[in-house]
Amino acid sequence: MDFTKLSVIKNIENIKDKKISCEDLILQYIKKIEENKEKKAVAEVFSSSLERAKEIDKKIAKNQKVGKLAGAVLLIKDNILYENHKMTCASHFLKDFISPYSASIIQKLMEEDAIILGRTNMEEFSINDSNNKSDGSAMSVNLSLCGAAISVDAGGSIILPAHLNGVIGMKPTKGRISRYGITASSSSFDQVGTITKSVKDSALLLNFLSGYDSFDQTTCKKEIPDYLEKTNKDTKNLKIGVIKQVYDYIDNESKKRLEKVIKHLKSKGVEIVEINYPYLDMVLPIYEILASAEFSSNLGRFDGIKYSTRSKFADTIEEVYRKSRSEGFGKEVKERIMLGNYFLLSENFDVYYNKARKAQSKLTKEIKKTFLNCDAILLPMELREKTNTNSQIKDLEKDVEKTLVALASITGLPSLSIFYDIEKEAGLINKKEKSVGIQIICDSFNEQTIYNIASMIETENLKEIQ
Amino acid sequence: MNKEYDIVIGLEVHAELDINTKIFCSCEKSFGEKPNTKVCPICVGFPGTLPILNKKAVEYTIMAGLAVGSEINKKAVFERKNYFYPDLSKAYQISQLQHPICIGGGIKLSSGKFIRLNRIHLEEDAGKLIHTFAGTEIDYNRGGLALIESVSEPDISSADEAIEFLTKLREFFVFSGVGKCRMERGEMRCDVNLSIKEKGSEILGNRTEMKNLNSFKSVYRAIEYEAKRQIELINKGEKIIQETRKWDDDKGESFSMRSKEDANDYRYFPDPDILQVNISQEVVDRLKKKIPLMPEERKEKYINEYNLPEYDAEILTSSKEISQFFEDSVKMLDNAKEISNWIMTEIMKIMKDDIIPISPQYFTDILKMLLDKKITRSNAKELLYEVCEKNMSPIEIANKRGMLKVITKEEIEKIVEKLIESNPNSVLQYEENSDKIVKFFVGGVMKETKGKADPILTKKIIVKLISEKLK
Repeated sequence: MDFTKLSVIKNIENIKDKKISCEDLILQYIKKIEENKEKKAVAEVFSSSLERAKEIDKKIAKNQKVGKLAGAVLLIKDNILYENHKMTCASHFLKDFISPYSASIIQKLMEEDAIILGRTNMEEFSINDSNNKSDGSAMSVNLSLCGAAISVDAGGSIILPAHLNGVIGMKPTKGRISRYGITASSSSFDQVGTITKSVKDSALLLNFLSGYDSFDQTTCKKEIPDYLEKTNKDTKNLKIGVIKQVYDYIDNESKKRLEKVIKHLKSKGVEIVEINYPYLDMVLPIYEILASAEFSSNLGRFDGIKYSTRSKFADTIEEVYRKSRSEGFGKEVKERIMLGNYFLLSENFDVYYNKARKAQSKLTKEIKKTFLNCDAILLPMELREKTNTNSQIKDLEKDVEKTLVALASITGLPSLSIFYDIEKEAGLINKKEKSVGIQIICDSFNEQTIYNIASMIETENLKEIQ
Repeated sequence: MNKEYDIVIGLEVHAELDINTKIFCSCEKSFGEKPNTKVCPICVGFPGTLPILNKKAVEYTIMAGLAVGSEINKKAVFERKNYFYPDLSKAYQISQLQHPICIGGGIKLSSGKFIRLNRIHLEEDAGKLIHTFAGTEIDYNRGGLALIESVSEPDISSADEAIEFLTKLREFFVFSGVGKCRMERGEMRCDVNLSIKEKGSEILGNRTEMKNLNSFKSVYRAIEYEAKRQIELINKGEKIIQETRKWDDDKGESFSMRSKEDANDYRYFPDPDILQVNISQEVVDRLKKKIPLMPEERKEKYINEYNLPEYDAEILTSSKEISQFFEDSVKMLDNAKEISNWIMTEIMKIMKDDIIPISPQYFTDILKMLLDKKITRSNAKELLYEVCEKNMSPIEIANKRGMLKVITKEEIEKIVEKLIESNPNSVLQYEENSDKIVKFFVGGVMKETKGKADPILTKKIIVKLISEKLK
């Protein structure tokens, strides 16, 4: 039987019930990764995963207690540090980098006997990967190369690829999950999240990923509910807001789809309220300025001196920096570093950085106000018919898409992307022609409401499949 | 004709905080250890690491500010100062720009002139480069140590004033306990900004900056040199280039490092990894109580409350350790002058590296025995050294060694009479060489009494008895 297609929760049960061993499960995934090699979703399968699987199998055979994630086989994004394993951020610069320590989240997952199967491909230092269908993490989950992927979102790099690959992307509240051991790209926006096949898988993983970490002072001490336990599909008395300005951004086809979703939600007893939020134009500039400013500073440490590859042609210290960085970084990374440095120059600081920060706090305050009137905000993921070939319009599309996913990033709010199979004839979630991709955003630390709504949608979807 | 010029100096003083760990990780603060043995992924800036701000470092900075009369900012922000240098592991230094912890304050010089401080902020130190024949090596042991930077306004107008300012600033930090400021260890370093202006004029010339001066002497010499250089240039009709200069202490001159055009734009921005620090009035009040009196205030107190001469008060407040030792001792023994005398002579002699090897308790125990005439002065001294060596109670030692028994006048007389009888020749030599003979008999008495006899009394008795005998 092919166990790879199953959810994490199902496979945890299977391991417990001894329907399959961890070792065999890992071997099934490895086989699948081999079969899908040409898709380049996975950068490396860690050989340690088999050892770990055998250890856990031994424990099970001896009837010893195993962790609550025994059976969860995870791929991690290639910017998460796992002790004694390679991490490259998909950059030539870090091609030989071995992590000297493990990220706090890796430690937490390992304590519960999750198995880290390997690392997934990504765009170099996460640059532009929010628009990337070929994001290794999202692709891997879609192709069943792992049970779930632990990824890092900055400006939509979980939400969008997950959507494009027909799986569920979750970016929790800023400060919910520790960033210690995540290679920083844009610190304010970097946020660990999950890419999963089911809502409950995400809820389960969030239970273990969340929480204060003394190694990350920006994490929050707020209590962690048992997301999995508390997830219910009851959507009665729920109020969901739709930002009226969103309609200015989307074409008729997308509008029709969104209206179908709204109609369907209403039929489920959800109250839909209109929200006035005339700030969407500002989202992308804020994100671009702040993210590239932080990016330029965060990548300074890759200088050819310590762990990054040093140019063979450098004689002076100046040349070590210049040549190593010229050779080490790709074009897009360099562009973003240049841009970020430009925004931070003392003569530009007030015009760009400070303005963007002020605008960011205004936008955050305003969106938080809307939660006085609703429990969640619904945003569409698809914006225009994809038949457009005009490249300029395509760029515009990208901007709009990015605007709608970056909103949660700049405001630090939790968000989840899921397909809503309203036509009820799709058969498979992946057949997105007949389904609508949506994003649900809630107030800070209200991941539970997101899971409740997503769970209802998922149940609706599955009804037709079964 | 050459014009007259005023010198305008502003100082930036870096002082290492006296806390056990680095500012953003738990690595031990060290000095002179093997390179890169006191480092971790955080202070070497490995990918994925985040700074964990040390609370004590913030508290000490607040205390430093309170000691020099700064206002404490209600909110403090840490920013990144971005530049490339091999000793800077992250390619940015976490420092403070817009919202430092302390604002204002200043130091009053003995002339009455007030040197204003602009601010005191908290930041991390960089590592060190070690240049060898094989190439340059980097030692990150120092990287990430907690530093406070005190920035003065350009109120200083001579090398002497600069040194007095530095001396007083150092005293404030040492007395408030925030730093040891041992310059020979690089725990205090100084940048000098200097420009000149025509006497009476308000227009400042271009300023130069000399970085990382690590002794008062080099600060003094660098200022003298730079002022002279600038004045000479102007008198020759040349221009002063705004630049950073490096002071070479061996050569006694400075040379240009980089001009303003090459200067870094540090691209400061708030560090997204560190939350804004909110400092409440309660915290400030609590820390205020922790700050002891400063040397000036102590001096006054010693003169007025303990009736000590100014000379004594000056010496007793010359170091925090001595001052503290004095105050602790006075609490145990109400005889400030006696304590002061002993500190100024014996204690300062046996002090090593700012450490006094005897507790105020043991020290005052000895003095009490002496003042109660239970032991002699010479025994007291001997006892002091022995207590330092063995760290045992002086009462116990005195008991063991039989020092406590006081020899009466009668007993001394008996011993002297015996000595006269057994040394008739010596007695005969008395008239020729009285000093030598008295010394000889005192020695005899001390030997007999194991030093417990009062030497002055003994001397009197010897002179009296020998004179009687010779009659």
